[in-house]
Amino acid sequence: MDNNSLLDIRSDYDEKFGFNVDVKTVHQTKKGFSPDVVKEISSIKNEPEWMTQFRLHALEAFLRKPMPKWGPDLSNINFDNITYYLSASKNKAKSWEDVPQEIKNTFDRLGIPESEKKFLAGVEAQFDSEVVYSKLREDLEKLGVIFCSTDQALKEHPELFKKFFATVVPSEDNKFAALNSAFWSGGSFVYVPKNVHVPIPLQAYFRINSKELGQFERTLIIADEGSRVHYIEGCSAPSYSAGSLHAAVVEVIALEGAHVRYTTLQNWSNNVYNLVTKRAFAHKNAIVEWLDANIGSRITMKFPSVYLIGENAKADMMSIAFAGHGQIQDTGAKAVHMAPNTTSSIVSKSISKGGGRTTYRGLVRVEKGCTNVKSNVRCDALLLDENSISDTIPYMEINEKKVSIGHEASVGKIGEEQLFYLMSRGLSEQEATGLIVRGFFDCFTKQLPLEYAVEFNRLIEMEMEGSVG
Amino acid sequence: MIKEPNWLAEIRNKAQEEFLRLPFPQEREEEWRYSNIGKIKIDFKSGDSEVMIDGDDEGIVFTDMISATRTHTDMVKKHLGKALKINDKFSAFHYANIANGIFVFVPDNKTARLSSKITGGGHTIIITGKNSKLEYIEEYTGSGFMTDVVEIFVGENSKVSFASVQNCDSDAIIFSFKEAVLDRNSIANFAFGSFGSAFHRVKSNTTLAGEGASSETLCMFRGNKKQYTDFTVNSHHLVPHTNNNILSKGTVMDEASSIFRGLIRIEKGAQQTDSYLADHTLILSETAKSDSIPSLQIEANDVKASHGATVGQIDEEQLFYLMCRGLSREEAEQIIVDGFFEPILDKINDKIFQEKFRTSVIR
Repeated sequence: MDNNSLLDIRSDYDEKFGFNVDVKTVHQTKKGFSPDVVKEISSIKNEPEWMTQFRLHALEAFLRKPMPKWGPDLSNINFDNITYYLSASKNKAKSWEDVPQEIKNTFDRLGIPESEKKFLAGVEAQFDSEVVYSKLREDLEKLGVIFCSTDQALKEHPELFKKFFATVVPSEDNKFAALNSAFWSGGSFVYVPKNVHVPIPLQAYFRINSKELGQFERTLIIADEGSRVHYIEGCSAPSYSAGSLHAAVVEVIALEGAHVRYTTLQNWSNNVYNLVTKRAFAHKNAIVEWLDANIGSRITMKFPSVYLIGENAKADMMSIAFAGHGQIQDTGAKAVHMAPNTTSSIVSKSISKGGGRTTYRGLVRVEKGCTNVKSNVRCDALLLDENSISDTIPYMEINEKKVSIGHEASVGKIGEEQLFYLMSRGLSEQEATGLIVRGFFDCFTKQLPLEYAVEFNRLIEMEMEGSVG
Repeated sequence: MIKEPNWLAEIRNKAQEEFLRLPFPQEREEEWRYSNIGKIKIDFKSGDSEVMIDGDDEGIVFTDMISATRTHTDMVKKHLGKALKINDKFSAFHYANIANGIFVFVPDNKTARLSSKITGGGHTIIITGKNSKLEYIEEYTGSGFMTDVVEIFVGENSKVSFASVQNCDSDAIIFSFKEAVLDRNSIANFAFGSFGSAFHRVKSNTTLAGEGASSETLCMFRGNKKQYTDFTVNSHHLVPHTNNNILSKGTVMDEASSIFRGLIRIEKGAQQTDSYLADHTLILSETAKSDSIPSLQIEANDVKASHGATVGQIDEEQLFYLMCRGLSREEAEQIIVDGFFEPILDKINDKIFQEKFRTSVIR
C-alpha cells in the first residue's frame, strides 16, 4: 500500500468547500476577548440589559472554568488570537436576491438555494457571526411555526425566548458552553406550536469564511406538545492554514408527545476546532433523535445528550465519525434517564484512517427510582490502516434495579473475506472498500432524506479516495 | 524476628517519602470518581500480616518473603516492585509498609501445585521459568485497612493458573494490586473473587509482553449490606499474536455498590491480537447501584477487540416460571442467581479451585 495516498484524503475539499470570498466587513471586534468585547457585541446587537448581564456573567464562568483534563489536546487554541465577532452583512434577507453578492455566491456554490427549492420547509444561512438569510414556507408560518435566527427571536419573541433560553445548557455547564454564552451570535430559533407537524425538514447552514474566527452559533428548538419537526444542519469552512473555533450550544426542548429529529452533517475544513454542547430535554412521551455525523474538523468534541425527564420518553442517538490524517473525532452520546419507563438507544459507528483517531465517549445514567428503563449501546469501529487509532469509553451509571442496560462494542479492520468476495466479482480493491464502508454507515444514511443520503455517500466516497491500492 | 536487609529498608524508606508526598485521591479525579474514597482512613497496625503456605513440590522455591530475601536475594531484588510501580498513595503505602509475603519460584520444566493463606495483606511474588506449570490458590482474610499485592512473572511456554479468594471481615478496607507479565507463548488463567470486606478495590493489570501469550481473567463478586466492590481489569497488548479474555460477573444487593472498569489497550504494531472484555452485573435491590466503564484503546488495525456490558435485574418471567412450580420468591431468585454465576464458574478449569469459588458465590 502506498503510504502517501493514505494521507491524501478529502482531496477535493479545497475546491468544493475550502474556498473563501472577499467580503466587506460591517462589524468586527478586535482580536481577543474582554468584558468590553462582550459589551461591544451586545451593543451592536442592541440587546436588552439582561442579555448583556447574562453574557458578562458567562465570561466570568469561562475564565473560572478549567480546560477539560480529558480528551484531545486543546493547548493549541490561542484564545487571544481569535476574532469573537465578525459580520459581513447589515441586514438579514428574506430573499436570496437581497443577500450581498459575494455571500450569495458562496451559498450558491454550496447548493443551498437549490436545495431549498427542492425539498426544504425552511432555510437559514449563517455567514461568520451573523445569519444572512432565513426563510420559512408561508403555510408553516401561518400555522404559527417560528424559524428565524436566535438574535431575531430575542427581539421578536422575547417571552418564549426568555422562558427556554439557557434552561437546558446553563452558561456555567462547561468551559465552552460558557464561552458560547458570552459571545453567542446567530444560530437557529425554532418553535413548533402544539400538534403542528412540519412535514419536510428545516435546514440551517453554517459557514465560516474568515480566518481565526470564533463562531458561536446558539440554537434553541422548542417543540410544543404533540408537534413534530426535523432540523438539519450542515457546515463548512475555507481551508486556511490558521484555524477557526466553532463552539456552539444547541438546546432542544421536546414537550409532551413531541417528536424532534436533529441531523448534523459536520464537514468543517481540517483546521477547525469544533467544541460543541448539544443537549435535549425529552418530556413525557416525547421522542428525541440525534443523528450526528462528523467527518470534518481538526478536533471535534461533541456528545449529543438527551435528558429523559418525562415518563415514556425515548431517545435515539446515532453518532457517525470519520477521522483521517490529522483529525481527532472525540464524539459519542449521553442518555440520562430521570423518569421511569424511558428508553434510549445509542449506535456509534466510526472509521479511522491515515493516522486519524476516533473516540467514542458516552454515558448512560439511570437515576434512582427510574424503573423499567431500557438502554442499549452499540459501538463499532473500523481501522483502515496500522497508523490509526480507535478508543471506546462508555460510562454506565446505574442507580436503579428494575432496568435493562446493555453495551457492546467491537473494533477491527475490513474483513478479508468480504473484500475477496467483492473483488472476485470484478470490483477493484478501492471500489470494494468503498462499498463495505458505505454498508458500514448504512444504518445512518438510511435515516437521512434521500438528497442528503446521496450527498453523504458522496462525501464518504471522497474521503475514501486513494485509501487503498 | 529476622532483621530485614538494607536494600529492603531502602525501598521502604523511599516509598514512605512517596507516600507522604502523594496527595490523598479526590473523588473528582477520573480514576476515583466512582470510589467512595472520601470515607477511607489509612489506619494500619503493622505486624498484623501473617502467611501460611502449603505444598512442597520438589525443586521449587516456596517460602515467606523475609526468608527469601536471604536465600534468594538476587531474585527477590530483581522482581520486587518490577511489575507494580508506585502509582498512587496506596501502592506507596504498600511498599512503605511491606512486612511479609510469599515468594514462589518454579524453575524450568517443573510443575507445582500450591496454596497460601494471607492475613492482613502482604506481597506475593511468583516467578516461573521456561516450560513450567503452576497451579496456585490464595485466600486472604483479616480486618481493618490493608494492602495486598501479587506480582506474577510467567516465563516462556509456561502455564500459570492463579486463583485468589478474598474472604475478609466485614470491616476490612482492602487495596489489591494484581500484576502479571507474560512472556512468549505463555498462558495465564486468573480468577479473582471478592466476597468479604466493606471496601475492596482490585486493580489487575495483565501485560502481554511476548508473542503468542494468552491470558484469561475471571472476576466474581457478591456485594451486600453496604459493601463496595471496585474492579479495574486491564489487558495491555505490547506485541503481535496475543490473546486475552476478561469476564466479570457480580451481584449487588441491599445498599451495596460496584464499579467495574476495564481497558483493553492494543499498542501500535501489536497486530493479530484478539481481545475480549465483558462485564455483567445483576442489581438485586432497590437501593443497590452499579457503574461500569469498559473501554478500548486500539492502535493497531489487524486485530479483534470487543467488549460487552450489561446491568440488569432478575428477569420477572424467569421468576414467575419458577414460582409457578411452587418455589418461594427467595428460592426462585437464589436459583436464578446461581444460574447467572454457573457459566463463569465453569470457566475455572481446575475443579478444586472451581469448588472453592462455588462455595463463596453460591450462598
